[in-house]
Amino acid sequence: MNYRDADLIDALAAEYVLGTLQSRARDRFEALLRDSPAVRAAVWHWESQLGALGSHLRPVEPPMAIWQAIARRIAPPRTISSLRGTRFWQGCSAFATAAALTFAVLLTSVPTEHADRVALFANTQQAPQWLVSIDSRSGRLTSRALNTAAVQADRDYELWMLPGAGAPPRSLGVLPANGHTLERDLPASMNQSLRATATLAISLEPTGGSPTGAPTGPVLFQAQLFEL
Amino acid sequence: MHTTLDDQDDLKRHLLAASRGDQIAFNLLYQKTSARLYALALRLLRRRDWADEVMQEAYLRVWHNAGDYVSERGKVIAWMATILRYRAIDRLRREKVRGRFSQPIEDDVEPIDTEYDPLELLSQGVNAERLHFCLGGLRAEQRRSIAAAFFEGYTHEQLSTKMQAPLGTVKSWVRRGLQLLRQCIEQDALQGDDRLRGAP
Repeated sequence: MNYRDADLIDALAAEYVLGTLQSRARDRFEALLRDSPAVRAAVWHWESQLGALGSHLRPVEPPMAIWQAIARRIAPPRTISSLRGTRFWQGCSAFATAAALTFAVLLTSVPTEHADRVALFANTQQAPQWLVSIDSRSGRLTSRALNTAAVQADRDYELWMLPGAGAPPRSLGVLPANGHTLERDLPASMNQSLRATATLAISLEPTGGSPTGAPTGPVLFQAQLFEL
Repeated sequence: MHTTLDDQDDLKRHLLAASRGDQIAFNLLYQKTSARLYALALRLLRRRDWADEVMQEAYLRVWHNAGDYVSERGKVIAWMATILRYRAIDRLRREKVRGRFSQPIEDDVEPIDTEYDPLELLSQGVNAERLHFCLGGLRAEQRRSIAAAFFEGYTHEQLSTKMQAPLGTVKSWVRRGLQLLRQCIEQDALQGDDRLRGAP
């Protein structure tokens, strides 16, 4: 068969889309489809034409259950009960129950989009201070200042990851002021290190962050990263 | 015909947003397309339970592959309908292997009105109108065999049995029918653009 014949390709593409191209012929054609933009274009053309074949049908409203089933598969609801069984819940023995509950409520009400890891910084009274959420796939880090004490005019809070095993802390940037949210897209190498990091810390630095690349002020808070 | 143009633009926007994980946009896409696709699913599968399941599979495919859509693939609704049809045909063939067949919709279920709806056709725009016009120009056996392949997922062998004609004859009905369809569509497209420019 001369696959370079455009008419033949077109005829095969039509039968492929229609569904009448079978077994070995179909397999051969699918291999062509993968490798040849011209064949792809022919198939797309027929799909677009034949796609209109069902268009004379009177629309029928589908039952709500169909959408509900779809929605469940694309976005599992982040309810408090769905957090059970994750390591987050098991790790909460480190928190007083009230703080853990606050954390859970925050997680479900604060849009964390595609975050798969979170850390909550609490002060000595267990009051939530910052919520840091991370989308490991995209490297987006979101930090939200919940009810933070005002900081001196010449100071900023800076976030660090503690990679452990004697490795030095690495800066994840300055944190936002009370009530604000900051998003950062981490460079790939940082995101990579972060995946292997379990602990984050916050130190008090000069405005704009540490000038040296290492913490210069006191480390005031520490928090574990939990997987969602 | 402006409704159709707006529709396509909206659907493209929703699909693009959905490809970035926007679930609200995906829901809007569902709201605007699901009734048309459900009608197709019911027509193809003739069983509500199969139609419901195939709808889910198809929309999940759309969600996961939203980034694959490009304008060269035609209208968004046609692309989605193709995804649904492939899933439906797969399902029909699987069930046939298991000895289960599609039956007419159960009597106790509200009958599905799958009558030809000219208004619906018009609202689908030029492509659909043209296709149906060109289908009308085919010989009955050509049209019937193409429709049976499309809507029931019949293979050449099954068509040969169903239409009680030799395999070679059936193959040429399909092949020639598609050829004529293509020629008619292209010709109509060239002539029709003038005609439609003045359409309301």
